[in-house]
Amino acid sequence: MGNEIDKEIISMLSTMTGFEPDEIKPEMNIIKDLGVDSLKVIEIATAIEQKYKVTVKESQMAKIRTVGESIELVKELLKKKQKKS
Amino acid sequence: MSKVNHDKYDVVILGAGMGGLVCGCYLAKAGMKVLIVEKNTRPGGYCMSFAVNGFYFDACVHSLGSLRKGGVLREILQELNLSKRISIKRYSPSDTVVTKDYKINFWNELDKTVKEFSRNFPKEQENIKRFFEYLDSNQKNYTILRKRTFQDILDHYFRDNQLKAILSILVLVNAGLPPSRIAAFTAVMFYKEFMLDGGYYPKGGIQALPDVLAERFKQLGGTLLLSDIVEKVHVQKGTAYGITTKKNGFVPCKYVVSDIDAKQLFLDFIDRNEINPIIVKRINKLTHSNSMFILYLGLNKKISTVKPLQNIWLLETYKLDKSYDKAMDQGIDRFQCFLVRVLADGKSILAMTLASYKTARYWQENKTRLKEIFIKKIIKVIPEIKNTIIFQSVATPHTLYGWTRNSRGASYGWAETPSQFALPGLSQTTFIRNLYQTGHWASIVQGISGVIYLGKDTARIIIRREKKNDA
Repeated sequence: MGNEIDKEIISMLSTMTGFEPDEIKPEMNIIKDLGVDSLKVIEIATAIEQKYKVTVKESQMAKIRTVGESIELVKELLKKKQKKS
Repeated sequence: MSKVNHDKYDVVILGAGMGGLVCGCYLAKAGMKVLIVEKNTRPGGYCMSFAVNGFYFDACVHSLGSLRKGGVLREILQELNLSKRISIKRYSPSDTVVTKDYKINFWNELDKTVKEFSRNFPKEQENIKRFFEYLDSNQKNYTILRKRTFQDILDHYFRDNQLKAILSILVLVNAGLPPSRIAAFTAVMFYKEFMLDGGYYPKGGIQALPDVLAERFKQLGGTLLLSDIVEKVHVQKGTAYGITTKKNGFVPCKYVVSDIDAKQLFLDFIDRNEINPIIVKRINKLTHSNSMFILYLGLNKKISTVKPLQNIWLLETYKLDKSYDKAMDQGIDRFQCFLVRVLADGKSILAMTLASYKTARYWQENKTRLKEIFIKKIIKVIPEIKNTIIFQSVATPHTLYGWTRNSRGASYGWAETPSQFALPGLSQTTFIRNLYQTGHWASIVQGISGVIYLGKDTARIIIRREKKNDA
C-alpha cells in the first residue's frame, strides 16, 4: 500500500506541475524544484484531504515541503485514521 | 474565408479574457501554435470599454494593480515587451471610503494611508500599523489563511466595528462577498495587489490593456478568432484533443486551455460519459460568485468637485453582512455599499454594486426603478451632477451573462469562500488530460493581477509538458 501512495502523490504532483512522474524525486522541494506556488501548496493539502478523507492540520502544512515529506505526511495521517477506526 | 487552419494548432484557448490572452502570448512566445476563440467582437472579457454618445465607459474592470517593481502586471508587460506600448499612470488617492462619519483616503504612499486611518481611529493606531505591515510584508506562506475568512483577520487585528466595515467594503464590492464569508486569502491578496499597489489606469481606457496583448499575441504568430463561439470540447478516454466552434467546426489540437465558465466547460461542452458522476456532483455543489448591477452616466459638463479616476466607496451602514443578505434576498435597492468613479473625460461616470442573478423578467420590471434609486444615491455624494445627466444606461447580471456567458452573470468565477479555496482537479490542471484552465474560474485569485498571473502560470505548465514530449 505504501508504494501505491507514493505513486498517487507523485502522479498528483505531475499533473499539477507538468513534470513527468519519473522526474519527480522524493528529495525534491515542491516550491523550489517543482515550481509550485504558495496557492498550489494549499491545493495539495486540499487534494490530500479529499482523496484520503483525512484532515491536514495547520501545524502539519509545513510538512508539505519536499515530495518525500508529503508522502510521509499522508502515510502518517492514514495510520492515525486506521488506529481510530 | 476562414482564417482558422484546421490542422495547425498546438493549443486552443477558449475565451480572450485577460487570463486567456496572457496565456496565449506566453505559449506563442515559446513557439507553440495557438488559436484563441472569443465570442465577442473585441478581446478583454470583463476588461473592456465602450464608447457611446460621445462618452467613454469602462464596462466593468476599472483600475489596475501590481505595477510595483516585481509586481505581476509589470513583469508580464516587460516579458512581453509591452512596457512601452502602453502608458499606465498611477493616481493618488486611489480610493476614498465615505461613510456618514468618515472620509478616509488610500494614498499611493502607505505611510500616509496608515496616518490617515490612525487619525480617524486613534485607539486602533498600533493595530492599524500592524495590519498594514502584515499586508506589506514579503511573506509568501499563506497556509495559515487556508480555512479562515477576512472577518477572522479583522477580528485578530481590530476591535472597532466601524473600522472593520470600512476595510471590508472594498473587498465586498471588488470580490463579491462580505467579510464573514470571503476567504482571508482573497482579501489579503486584494489589499496587497490593489490597495497597497493600486490606483493605476492606462491611457485610452481599460480596453487598451487587452488590445495591446491581443496585438502582441498576433505578432507572436497567434490566431485570434473573434465572434465565434465554442460548442464542444472533445475528450476521448480522459484526454482532450480538440474543440468545435459554431462557425469553424472541428479544430483539433494537443492542448485545450479554458478561460471560460468552468461549469459550462465541464457539464455542457464535454461528453458526460467522459466525466465521473462524482465530479459532476462536486461541480453542481459549487457556488458561483455574485454578479453586478452597473450604472453608466454621461453628463453635459465636467465634474469639478471630484477628481477623475479615483474610486469612491459609499458605505451607508457598518453592518455589511446584514446589508448584503438583505440586498441579495430582497433587491439591490436595499444595498448600502457601492462604488462610484468619474472616468478620464470628467463627464462619464461608472457606478456599481453587487447583485444576485434573478430572472430576466425581474430586471425588466425593476431595472428603471433601481436605476433611479441608484442615481439618487450618487447625487447625494456628488450633488453637482444633479440636472446634468444626459445619458444613462445599466448593465444587469443578465447583461453580464451576455458578455461572458458566465453562469448567473458571475463576476469572479466561483464564489471565493474558504471551502472553495482549492478545487483539486478543477483548477489550472484538470481531471482531463491536456485540458487546462486559466483565469478566474481556475483558482481563488483576485482581479486582473490574479488572472494574468494564472495566464502566465498555466502557460508555464503546458510549456514544461510540451518540452518533455519533444525530448
